[in-house]
Amino acid sequence: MILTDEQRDVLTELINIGVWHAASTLNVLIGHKVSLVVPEVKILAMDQLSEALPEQTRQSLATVSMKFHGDFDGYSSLIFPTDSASILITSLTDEAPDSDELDEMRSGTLTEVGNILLNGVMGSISNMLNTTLGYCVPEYHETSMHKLVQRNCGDADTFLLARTNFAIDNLKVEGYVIMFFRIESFHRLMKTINRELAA
Amino acid sequence: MIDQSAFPLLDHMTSGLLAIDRQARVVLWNSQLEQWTDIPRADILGKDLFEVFPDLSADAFKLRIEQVLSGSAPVIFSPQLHHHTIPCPLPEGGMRIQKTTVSWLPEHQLALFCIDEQTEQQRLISQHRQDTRELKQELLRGQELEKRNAHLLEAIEQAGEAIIITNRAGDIEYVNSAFYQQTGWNEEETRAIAVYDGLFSDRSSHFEKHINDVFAKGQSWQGRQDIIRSDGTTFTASISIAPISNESEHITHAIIIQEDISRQLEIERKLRDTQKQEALVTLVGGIAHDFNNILAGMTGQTYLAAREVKDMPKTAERMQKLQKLAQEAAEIVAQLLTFARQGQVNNKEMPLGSFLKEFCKLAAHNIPESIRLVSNIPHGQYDFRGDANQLQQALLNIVHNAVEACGNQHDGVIEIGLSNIDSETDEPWFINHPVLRKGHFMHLYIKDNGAGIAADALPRIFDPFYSTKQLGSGLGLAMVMGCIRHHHGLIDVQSTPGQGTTLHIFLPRRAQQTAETAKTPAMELQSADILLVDDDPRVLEPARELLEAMGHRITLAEDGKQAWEIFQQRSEDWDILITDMVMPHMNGLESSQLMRGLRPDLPIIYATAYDQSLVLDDTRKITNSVLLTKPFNLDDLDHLIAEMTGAKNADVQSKAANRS
Repeated sequence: MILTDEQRDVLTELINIGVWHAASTLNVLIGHKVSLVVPEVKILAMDQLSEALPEQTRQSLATVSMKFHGDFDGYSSLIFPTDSASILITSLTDEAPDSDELDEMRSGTLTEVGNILLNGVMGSISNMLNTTLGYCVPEYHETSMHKLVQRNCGDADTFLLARTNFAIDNLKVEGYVIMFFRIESFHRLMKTINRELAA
Repeated sequence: MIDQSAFPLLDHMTSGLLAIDRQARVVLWNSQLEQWTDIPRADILGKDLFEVFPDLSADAFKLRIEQVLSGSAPVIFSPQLHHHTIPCPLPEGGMRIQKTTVSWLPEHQLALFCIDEQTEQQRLISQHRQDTRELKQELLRGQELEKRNAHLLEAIEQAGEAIIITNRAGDIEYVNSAFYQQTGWNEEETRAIAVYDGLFSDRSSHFEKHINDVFAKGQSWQGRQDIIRSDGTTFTASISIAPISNESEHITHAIIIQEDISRQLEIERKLRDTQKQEALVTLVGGIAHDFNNILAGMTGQTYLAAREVKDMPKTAERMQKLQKLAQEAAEIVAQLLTFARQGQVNNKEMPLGSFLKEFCKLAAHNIPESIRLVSNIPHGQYDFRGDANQLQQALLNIVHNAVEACGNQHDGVIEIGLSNIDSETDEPWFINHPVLRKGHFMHLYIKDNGAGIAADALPRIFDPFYSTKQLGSGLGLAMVMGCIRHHHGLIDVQSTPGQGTTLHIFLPRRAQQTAETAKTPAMELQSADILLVDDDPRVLEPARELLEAMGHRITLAEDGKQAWEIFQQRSEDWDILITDMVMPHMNGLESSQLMRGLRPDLPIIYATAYDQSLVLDDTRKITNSVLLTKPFNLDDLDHLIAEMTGAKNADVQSKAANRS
């Protein structure tokens, strides 16, 4: 699937607006300055995913996934390598960084961060595109990329990959937002975008 | 408003459930929440959630709850970031920790709060974190300790001293590799032996008592102990034993550190021997020097007396006998001087091989027929510089001892051998005499198959006056030692009682060329003006009389200073200066040089009772001078005066080294 420049710009903007909202929510929540940017958005086929994220394919990942349905269906996930996730949580909670282990307490925190970020992105998409989406409660998993793909509808074949850079005070952490679509669902998303562009 | 009685299930849920409508009014409040908050359902239903729980009005909550009320995705409030949403006091104080999910129910147009209590989980997690932290620290400490132990063990293993750890029963629990090297025991044997009975079998040494004391009193012990190796030989070790206590301060083990000090003891012994030898050299040298002067006086007086009693044949004969006896005494003194390295030497270049072959012929005349003399002198380069007479005398002394050792046995053999040092066959000698490694030495040996020397006598055989023979002077081997040392050589001895003795002599190989000087024929006697200088009146007086008897005119001086004063009064008149070397105020060399300033042609005879080599270098450079050793040989002196005064004004090279 090839996007026109215009379509790519719209998608990038939608996601950027979403993460901007998420960043202000996080600011309020933790009292530290959080900036979030999405420098690039890509549409990938299944076989391109591991190519685009070679590191993440090998590593163990901390993931927060949320199912959505409505005008278009799919999953949106936020993924971090576990050590990055640990650094992020440590800086959010001012914990002593004595362990990389993501126990239930820390994974709960990461789930909330994921929840805020994904809500920002999804909220932005549904608001701007004037569509109604239903959501399930987000879930946290420590897993591999392969299992994540299997879990989030194994028959998904189109992926919207958005790289997000977190900067909390001086700390920089990189994570990814991936939206999993079946092709027809993605077509519906693109149709909606085209409709909004026309309007 | 929801009719909660229609959903009895909600009151049996372990989660707290609460729902609000779009105006944030509470429409659902289940039994779990009633119990947690102590707020009855009737009191809260219909009320504004943000008014009942004002903390929720904070942006962190309110903005996100309002998003849900607008139909957005569910929001999660995690326990670590928020602790709780609805304040629910715990009986023991504090609030229940909660994880809250707020979801929009579009069909009911309500936001549902699902609240899970996580107090216990959080406590367990905190506990787990604490335990993990402590475990990690423990692990780190363990690793650190292990590393340190490994270093210590490595140090102990590599230590030069043997280290043994033993328990109270005397079982050996640990030894390092130095222990195996020192004792020759292997690992298996070491396991099988106890400290008491295996290693330290010398019961008289009280070693067992020392080790028991360490266990009983907890005090360390240090001392020396003979240790028995696995092959039965022993060595002396410096040992320290220290207690090792367990945590309850009970002594469970002892550590024994054992250093092989046999080499150190050997060096100490050698040093003592050397010091003893040096003391003897000084003592003997001093005595011999005095005796020499006395003998010089006696010889002179006897010579004069003999001349005066020419008419009394009997007395003259006695005088001659007296002179002969004095000569014999002088020979003994000469031997002492050789030992003390102060004797008269006459060094010459000579091939040691030929010398030794000649010596064997001479020796053959000195041994009885019952003893066979074998020579083993292969053809080779044996350049040597030394005093042939002295060396011959030394070797004769050794052969003489060998003959006596063979005694009356019928198969006595004396072997004389010579070779150049060989780095392989002579290797065992290098340990005690490292200088031999340098190579340029010849190895001369004299071996007999006689009675041998007892082990306790062996260290003393080179001491002067030490003799195992009833009539021995104890000077034979002392003279040998002095002679070999004078030649910058080494001497060693191997002997087994009943099997024989071998004396090994190592002499430096040389290749120096010095012109040989023939003895000048006697010259006609002339009367000479002689200035005679000596601080010892025992020498001075008889010498004066003697020289006067020869027809010379003698002026005496007691030291160099007086001699210089006398000399200046009529410097041109002197025919010859005869001066002692070592004197108070001004020595012979200094005064003679002053005189040479006025009279460069003045013949000089330097007389000394000391080792010529000590003054040789100084006098050798002085032309028309001769060095003589006291007591003088009167005929020689007579010849010399005639020769030198006859050669007055001629530039005659010093012949000191070749004079006797």
